[in-house]
Amino acid sequence: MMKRLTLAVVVVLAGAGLVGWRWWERAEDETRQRIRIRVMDFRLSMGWGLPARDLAHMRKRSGLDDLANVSCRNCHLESTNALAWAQPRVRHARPGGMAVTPDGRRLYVALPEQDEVAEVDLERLVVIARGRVAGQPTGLALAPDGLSLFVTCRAGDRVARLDLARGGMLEVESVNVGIQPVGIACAVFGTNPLRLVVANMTSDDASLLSIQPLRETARFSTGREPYGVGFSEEGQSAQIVSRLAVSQGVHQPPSSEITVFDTLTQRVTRRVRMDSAHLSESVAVVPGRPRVLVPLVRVRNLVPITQVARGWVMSSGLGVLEPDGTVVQMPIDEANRYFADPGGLVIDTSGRRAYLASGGGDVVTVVALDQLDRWLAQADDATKRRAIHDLELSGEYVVGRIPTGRNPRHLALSPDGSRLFVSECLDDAVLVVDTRSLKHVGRVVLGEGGMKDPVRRGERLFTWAGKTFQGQFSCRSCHPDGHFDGLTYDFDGDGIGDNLLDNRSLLGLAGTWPFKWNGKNPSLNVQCGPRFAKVLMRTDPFDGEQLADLTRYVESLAPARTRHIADTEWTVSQERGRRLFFATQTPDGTTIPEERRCSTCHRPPLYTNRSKSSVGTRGPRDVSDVFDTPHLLGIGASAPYLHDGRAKSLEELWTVHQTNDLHGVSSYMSKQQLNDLVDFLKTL
Amino acid sequence: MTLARWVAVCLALLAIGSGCRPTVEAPKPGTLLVTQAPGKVLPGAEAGDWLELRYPLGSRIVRAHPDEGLALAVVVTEGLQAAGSPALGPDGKVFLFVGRRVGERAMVMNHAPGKTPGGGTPHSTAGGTPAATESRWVEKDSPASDWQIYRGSLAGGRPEALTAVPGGAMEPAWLPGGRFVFSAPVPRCLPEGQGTEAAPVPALYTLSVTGGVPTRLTFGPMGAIDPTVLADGRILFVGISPAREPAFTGKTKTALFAINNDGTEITAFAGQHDDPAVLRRPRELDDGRILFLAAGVGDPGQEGRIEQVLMARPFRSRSVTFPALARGCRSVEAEENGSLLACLRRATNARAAGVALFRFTTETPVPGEALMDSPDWDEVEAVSATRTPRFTGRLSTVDPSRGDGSLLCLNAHFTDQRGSGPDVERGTTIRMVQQLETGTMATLGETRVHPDGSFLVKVPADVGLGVDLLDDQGAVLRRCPPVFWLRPGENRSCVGCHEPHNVCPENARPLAVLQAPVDTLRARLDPPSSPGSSP
Repeated sequence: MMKRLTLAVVVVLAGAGLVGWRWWERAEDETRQRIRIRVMDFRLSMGWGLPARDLAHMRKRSGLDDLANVSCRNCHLESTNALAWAQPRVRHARPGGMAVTPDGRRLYVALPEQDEVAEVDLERLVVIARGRVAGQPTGLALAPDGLSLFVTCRAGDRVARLDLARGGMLEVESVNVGIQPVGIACAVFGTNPLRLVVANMTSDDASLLSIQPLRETARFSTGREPYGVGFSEEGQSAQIVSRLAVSQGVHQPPSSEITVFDTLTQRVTRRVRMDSAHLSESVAVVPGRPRVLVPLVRVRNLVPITQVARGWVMSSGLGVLEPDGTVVQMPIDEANRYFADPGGLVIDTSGRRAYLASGGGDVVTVVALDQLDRWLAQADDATKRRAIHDLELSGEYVVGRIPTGRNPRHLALSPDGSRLFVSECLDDAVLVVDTRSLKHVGRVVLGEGGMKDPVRRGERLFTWAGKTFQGQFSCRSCHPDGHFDGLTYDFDGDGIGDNLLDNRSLLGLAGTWPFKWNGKNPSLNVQCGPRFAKVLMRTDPFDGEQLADLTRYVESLAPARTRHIADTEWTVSQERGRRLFFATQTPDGTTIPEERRCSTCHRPPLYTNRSKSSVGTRGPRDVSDVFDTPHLLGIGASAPYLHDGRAKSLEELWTVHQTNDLHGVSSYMSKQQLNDLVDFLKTL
Repeated sequence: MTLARWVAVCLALLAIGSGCRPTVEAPKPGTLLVTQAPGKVLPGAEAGDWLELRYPLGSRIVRAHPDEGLALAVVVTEGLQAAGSPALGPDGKVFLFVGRRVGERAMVMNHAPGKTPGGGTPHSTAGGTPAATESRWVEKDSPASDWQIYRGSLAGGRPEALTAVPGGAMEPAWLPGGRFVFSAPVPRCLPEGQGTEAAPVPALYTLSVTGGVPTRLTFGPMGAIDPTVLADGRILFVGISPAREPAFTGKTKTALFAINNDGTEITAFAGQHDDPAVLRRPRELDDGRILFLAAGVGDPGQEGRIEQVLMARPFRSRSVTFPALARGCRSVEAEENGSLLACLRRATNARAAGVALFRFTTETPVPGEALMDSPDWDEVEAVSATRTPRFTGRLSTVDPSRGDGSLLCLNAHFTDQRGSGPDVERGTTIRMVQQLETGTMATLGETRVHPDGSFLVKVPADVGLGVDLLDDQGAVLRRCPPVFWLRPGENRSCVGCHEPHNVCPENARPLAVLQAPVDTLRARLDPPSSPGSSP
């Protein structure tokens, strides 16, 4: 009996082995490679080691003798499909832009994650209808007659018009605009028809739209990442504020732009620079006064981060744009308390009060504009220039701080100014505040808040300044929406003045370990752990659960989209650039050494081999010439480049900062070929 | 002995042990920890140090509830000759305080079993603590001062000494992570003008409640007293100078300073440029104010009027909290409901009149009836027994392996214009000075100021440092006295040379950071040969 059983087992095993062998023989190379990698991973995880031949291969490819943090997956990532950002995520009822009807009876709220717009009855403070708008509805603008609602669809690169006349929210027309439209405003100038201006965040431009029919009549360039739009009182002039500042060099102060556009002549009439100020997300004109207010973050990235106290890294403020084009930056922080991430801004119709939402501080700041005017009137130019640095000044004009729920970002006022509506983005709610008493008088519940979702909890930590000393800033302050601020910083952990570091985008970060420019952090838990608390937060570090949530959120951030949603095909130039990127020999037939090919280090699908390399970019104060190989997903949106941000554009990588072909063999490329290569890279 | 017997004995011991341990129940809302000092001046009881002024022999801490009156108060510092400065712990069950054991004082008080704090029959837990009216000095025991920090339980029981600091320790305040900060040594009371250079300067220290060696947090000639921990995790304290003089004479200068919980980032907080006054006992309220006691110079410093600054603008908001309140105040503390506990003299103009506890809100300019008022005792301090401290922690940046730190000044020409004013523009050289233990000044070294006014120097850690700005001729244009220090491995920056307070830096790359920091000790050995030489 036993003999028969043994024989049967041997026959079955032999048969299975034969079938397996035949399958292996027929399997595609990619499949066999995948299986080999899994076997290797298994061996490594069990501590069994690898054959000498494989170890030599890994040492050669990684350039490292110590293989502690190296696995086959450094180069052989099978697919991005398994990464967190490629997975479906819970869609919450996060409120986006808001608009109140002229009669004050209805509030419209964009719900970008749910592709809907909610209609709220302001008497009962309940949602009475939801209308579907595909493509991440973000910004809202209501026509003066209250019959049409215009919606920017950030993920759809379009603006939709909803017809409100028939008692519903029916999308009746749509027009394509630039990439990722966000802010929108509408105005009437004299007897001219209604017009709209839309800020297209990723294409760094703005669109002027006519209404009947809804079409784009002009597009003009703006500052980097235009976000908020406002109109002057008479409706002719539009102001577009930009989130990101641009620096002219590593040691030069950055500046962001307020673009002033004449909608009648369709010309940009002024480009106002705000020195060392950025992250402006809204703009408002003061009624009855020739002034425009802009929330801003005053950044001090050129100063070594020896401390964070006293606004050493950044502080929040309000930009006052005067008719002559000068901007006075006024602080809203206090000497020992900060109100991080100023976002939404509204001014009441009397022009006497401004309300400013601080997303990181969970506070709305109330500014008395008469008192602000009085201070501006008596201050000389030098005092005005230094005003933003005076942390005890805001007491002259800040008359209230209204606590809110989680992450207030958008504001709206009732037409009579008696009620303020605050979008509590991470509570899925709209707070209603009585503007006379500054007390809460109600709340519109849009969703359940999402605190059971670890990604949402992580986002809460990411956007909350309460974990930083005195609430000075949040993760979002340097990584708006998970992206980055485009600036270079000097951390003092390894000495004052040493190792300048270009900030890197967090979009598409999942699977791209190690982290930091020196590649010393093997995981996000390490990256965001005690070292981060010691160097930046200057408080207690995140605990284990918080770190897990934060990591889940960061890994959920998809790579930046740099192409228009309608651009699905590669252009001829991009295709030529792709061939250059994957070239193994130069046009004259010379073989490009493997370690100097673009695709060796920037290996698909993440376009990184997750290792460190020396590409000849060591600066005079760098302690090492070996840096982490960054992934290239969304690379077109993450200028400047190199570890210290010295290259302002991709073109400069192979021109101004060409390093004798150490950073890929490119010296043979013509100007056309370089342009092709850059064109291709911007599609990633 | 068999195993069963061993187990039985162990279980019995456990049962006895647990039965002896006082059970700690959460006190009901409104419960207070009150420091009571004997109400009458005792013959021969001349104060030898500051704490004897504040907590005369017999002082004690009781747990009491205003609704129950002092008759049911429980002494929670039994076995000690004097006690005060209660600081409730984060768990709401234990508290720190300063105390002195029986027999360790220069003179020991003998007493008959006396009365309760309220004058009634003694409470069972009050044994061993004298009633003030029955006490008298009987013998001289030891000349050593021995005030130490103790940990007591709200449930009572024998307190546990946490420190054994020569010269005594005082004014404990809780820090995150089971640590606390205190000031030491306890300054002696000497007649004016008899202060000596050898007298130790009171400084702040930190220690874990589980023991260990205290870590010093403050350095230099400025004394540091009255620490309190702010919600943002920093330690706010009163800086006093000259600290070697007897306290609160006409020459005494006090102001509020803040440091991190590892002693880094010494910062002027408030009062540095106000008229001379003695500031004591700063306390942060939940509404963003800092209350403190202010008295005129020459005042003994135990009493003052209640003043305040706003956290939002501490240098522009100092005011008298209760202008109508003319009585001397011994202490003021916050309760969780926003009201205040203040220990005030019962009468306006009688120093001999006793001190009682009052509760009032900021909207009530004059307190009403005393909350607690014992005829035999002065209620000199009261803290809520249910308001646990809330503060943020912070990871230390101190590197104990280092003996130095780096100081970066962004622009030595930027000043608040007090003193030499625009002349500072002529400043070309920085001289770093150090105050030695003897009180004398020593030059560490000199370095040139970069054209943008910046300089970056490496300086020794944990010593009082000062900065002189010199012109080409070596004349001092601006002088920052040695009121700051760097901890080991600390990187410290300042915006200017005695710049206005609470200003942020300009966003500019200082030229000094383009080079390695100048080592001041090396610069002292090899100073610049000419004014024009580079650092």
